[in-house]
Amino acid sequence: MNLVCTCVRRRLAALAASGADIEPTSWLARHLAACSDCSRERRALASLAGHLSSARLPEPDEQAFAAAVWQKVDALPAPIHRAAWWQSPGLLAAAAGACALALWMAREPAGVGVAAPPHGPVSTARAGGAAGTVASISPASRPKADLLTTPPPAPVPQAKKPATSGSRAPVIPKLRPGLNPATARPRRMLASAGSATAGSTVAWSDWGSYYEQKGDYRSAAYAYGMAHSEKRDPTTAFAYGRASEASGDLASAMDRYAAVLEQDGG
Amino acid sequence: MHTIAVTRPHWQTESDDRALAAAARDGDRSAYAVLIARYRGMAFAYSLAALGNREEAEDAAQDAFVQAYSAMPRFDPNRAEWAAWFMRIVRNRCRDGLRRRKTRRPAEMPLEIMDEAPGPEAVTMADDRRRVLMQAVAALPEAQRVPLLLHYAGGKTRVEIAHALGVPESTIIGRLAGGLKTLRRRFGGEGLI
Repeated sequence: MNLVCTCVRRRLAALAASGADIEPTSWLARHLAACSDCSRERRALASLAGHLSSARLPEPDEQAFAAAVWQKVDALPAPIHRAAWWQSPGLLAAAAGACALALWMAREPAGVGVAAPPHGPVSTARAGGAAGTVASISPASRPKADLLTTPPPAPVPQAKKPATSGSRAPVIPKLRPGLNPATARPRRMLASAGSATAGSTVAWSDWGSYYEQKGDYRSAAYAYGMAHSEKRDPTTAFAYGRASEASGDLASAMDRYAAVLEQDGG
Repeated sequence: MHTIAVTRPHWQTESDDRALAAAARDGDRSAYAVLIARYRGMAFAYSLAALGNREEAEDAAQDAFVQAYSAMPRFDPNRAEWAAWFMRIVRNRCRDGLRRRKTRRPAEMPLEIMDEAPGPEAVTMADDRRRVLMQAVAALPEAQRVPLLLHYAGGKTRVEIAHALGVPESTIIGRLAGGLKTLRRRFGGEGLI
């Protein structure tokens, strides 16, 4: 059997399967006429197909088959009508409650927004003589700074070692990475910006209050420190110390509290 | 409510299937009865070729019709062809039956595949040779066995088989040729053929 015979026998099975006739003038027909082995193979395949065709698949009885199908269909349990979830009053109320809860949790907490900066009269009288910042905020005593035009505190590198001496420079905290102070202004600050006038001291105090409310005490301490360096008053000094204390810089906080007491004493 | 006559010619077209399926989905039992009558043969033949047992094949085909009927509300006649959808159910039922049986090879097929009234060539064929041939067919892989039985013993055309199996017609021709070559190799030296 040569290579041509191999090709022919591959074709013969496909031809037998497809039921196609062989063109008398084709090279396959000429080869079959000349090659007895391939011709015998063709007859064998045809005989095999004939034997297979002699078998008959039995067919089910039509009436009995259909009757059995309908009997099984009738035996099926009745379909349960399931109402859509929004048609159930209980689930609908639960969904509404979940939405309300989500909205309530997503709203800005009342304490997170920055309160108006301490401005105007500041009560420093506290028990034990310690100075406190009890700011009385009223629409008339709103800060006069134009907060929209006030440059935000630029991100500064994190201080490696906090200084412990009393005369050291204020701790320069690093503002949170990714926070753009220009866009992260609290809404209340933006709302009150229209009625505010320029004043960088107020702005630094505002930023200190903002970061303090946000819980970023290092940034708050830095902002209060900047405000205190521009205008030395007990209010900002105490806020500086409070923020430093909250941020864990106790040495700086003690310095600031001492400065407040010295100013009060003076 | 659709009203479709039960008596229809055998050469019904695909659009008829779509109308019948739509009517059956709306609860018209007579329309579904037409679909049963039309696809009963193919469903049973496929099940018998795949399972090799007449009782199991009947159960599988009937269960496929029942499952299709209960699933009719989810069938969209405009998006799918009913015959293809139904034959997929039949194939899944047969696959489940084979899985339950824990074997892919129908053992008792050779004795049950032959009808009580064999064809004229089978009369001249000795019973033992016929049994050996059917054993060899049963030993074929399912991919070759089912088209071979549906085409030669079931009298289905290659197009019908391709439709039932969800494959192109050329694939069916290839599987038929592969089955014939395997059987030819099997009986080449025994003088059976």
